[in-house]
Parts: sequence; structure tokens; C-alpha cells
Amino acid sequence: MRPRSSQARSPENVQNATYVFCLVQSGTVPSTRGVPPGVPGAGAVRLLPIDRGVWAVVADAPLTHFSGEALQQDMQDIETISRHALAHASVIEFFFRRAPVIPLKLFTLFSSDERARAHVHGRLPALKRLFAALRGHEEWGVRVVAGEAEAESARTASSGRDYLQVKKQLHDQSAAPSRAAVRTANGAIRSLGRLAVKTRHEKFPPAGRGRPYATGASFLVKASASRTWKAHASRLEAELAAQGHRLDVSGPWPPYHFVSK
Amino acid sequence: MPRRKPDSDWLFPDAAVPAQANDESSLLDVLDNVLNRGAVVEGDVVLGVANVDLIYLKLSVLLAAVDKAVTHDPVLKPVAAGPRQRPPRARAAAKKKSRR
Repeated sequence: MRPRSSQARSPENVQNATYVFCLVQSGTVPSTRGVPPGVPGAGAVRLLPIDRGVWAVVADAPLTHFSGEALQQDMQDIETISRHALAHASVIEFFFRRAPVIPLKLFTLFSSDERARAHVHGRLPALKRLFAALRGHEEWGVRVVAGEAEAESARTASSGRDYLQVKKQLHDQSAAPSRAAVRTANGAIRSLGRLAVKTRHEKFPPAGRGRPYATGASFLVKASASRTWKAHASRLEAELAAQGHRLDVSGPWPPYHFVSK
Repeated sequence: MPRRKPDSDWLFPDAAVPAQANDESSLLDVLDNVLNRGAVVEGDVVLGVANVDLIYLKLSVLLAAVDKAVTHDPVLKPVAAGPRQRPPRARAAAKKKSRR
């Protein structure tokens, strides 16, 4: 694709900023055939060459829409944010399925293509190291909710005594999750971390009355080891389910959790 | 591994949807990802986004999904954190189907 300056593309009197979705590393020019439409209000998704093998995925962002009050107003509305977020993420995902990507935050804007290119170019050594670290890896997410199914076991207890025992347990747990439950949940995350290259822990609100213990993490897994990792996750899911806990796996994701400093 | 591609999004049926964003919980993940991650390159403009407490939102959606599964739909497992991996049996069945 032929790079064009954002100013050159704009109709008269409309000033454009440059909206950047992500950076892509590829030996050949990445195809934009079938790329999603991009964020509302911005132009078509296009490629801005940065260096040999590195492109920024960008779109023209008319300042009439992408500046000042108009945008700040948009940013107060969760539905509008969601619409932009989904559009942003689907463009990143399109390239992620084809080549290594470094995702950028929603509404990363530069005043021009030249500014965007200069900024990214200035960070190329670090970015290339990051690309090298991400190449051949996948991000997977895991969440564990401890003790969720215990309420159900109270209903299905086989005898009255069982029922009372489970009820007592539940009552004891209503203020705080049992230490065993927390240990099991954290142990699952830890053991998945041992099979991963990197782990980023996810914060959840603390457990409390009516709120079970929840924990989670994102894992950077070698693609060549992902089969082993997933098999282990499935085993843990079954093990935890038998103890009344719930483990969920999602992925592969673009490496959102492994691109920041 | 095959990625499950949703037909449409729950909130914006006309929007192009990332494969991950096919349920409420995943939309929150996407929001969290694009708002809070990916900071190696800072743009010229930094925008203030409405202060949404995604951590609490994510937990409540996660719990709602669990609750639904326990009380209403014991057969189907809910999708609580992005598209779940298909269980091996379902995967094998799908493979068989596609070969036909």
C-alpha cells in the first residue's frame, strides 16, 4: 500500500490527525484486504511504513470529530466508548491473526503521519526487542471463582446431616472464603504460570459477604507449548470444578498484557 | 486452535466484532485491554475516558454468568471470560462435521 500523508488525503478545510491502532511486524507488506472499518468517524484503515518490516496501522482522524469537546463528550458515555473499543480491537485482531502485533491504546492520536512515524521510529530498538519477545507466543486469560458451586451442593446434599454440614460451611464462608478455597484458586494460577513465559495477575475486588473470592491472570505462552498449557488448564478446570470452584480460559488474545513497560 | 467467530455482537449487532468480544464479559475485557493496556507508544493526545470501574463490573458479570449456569442452564456452560475452549469432544465432533 502506498503511504500518503494524512494531510494530502483530506478534503479541503478538514484537518486530520493520525489515529494509530497497532504496530505490525511482517516480512512483506501486510494485506488490508477485508480489514474491519475502523473506529467511528475515522477514515479507512491504512498502513504507515515505519521501518523495514515494521508498519503502523493507522486511519485519518478528522479533527472535527477527534478533538476537544466532541471527543471528551463521547468519552463520558460507556456505549460510545464500547463502540470505539470494539472497533479498535477488531482492527488489532485482524492483523494479530496474520502477523505479530503491538497493540496501542484506544485513541492513540498523533497530529500527523510524520509525527506518528517519527515517534515510533524513535523507539524502534525497544519495539523490535518487544516484537522479538512476542514472536511465537500467545496470550491466554484465566479466571477462577472460588466456591461458587458450593451453594448448589447444599441443594443436592444426600442426607440431612450433609445438608446441615454444607449449610454451615456456606455460612462460615459468607464473610470470608475458606483458606483452602483461596489456596486452591491461587495454586491453579501459579501452576499455570509455571508453564508460561510471563504472567500478569488480574485484580479483583476482595471477597466479602455475598462476594466469593475471584482471581485471574494473563499468561504469555510459547505457541509450541500452548497444547501442554491448555491441557493443564483443562485438567485444572475439572479438578477445581470437582471442588466446587470455577476456572475459565479465554484466548488466544493479542498480547495486550505484555506490551507495556 | 480454531477461534470461535461470533455472528454478531450483543450490544452492536452491526459492528465488526473481535472474536473475543462475543459476550458481555468479553466486551469488558476488550474495554479493559484497549483502555488500560498497550502503553509502549504514547500518542500526542491523551484522552480522559469516563471513569468506569471495570474491575467491579467484570466481577459482577462473571458472577452473573456463573449464577445463570447454576440456576437456569445446567447443561450448557456459560462463557464467562471470553470464548471458552471447546471441550475436546465437541472439537472432535466439529472436525468430523467439517470433513463431511
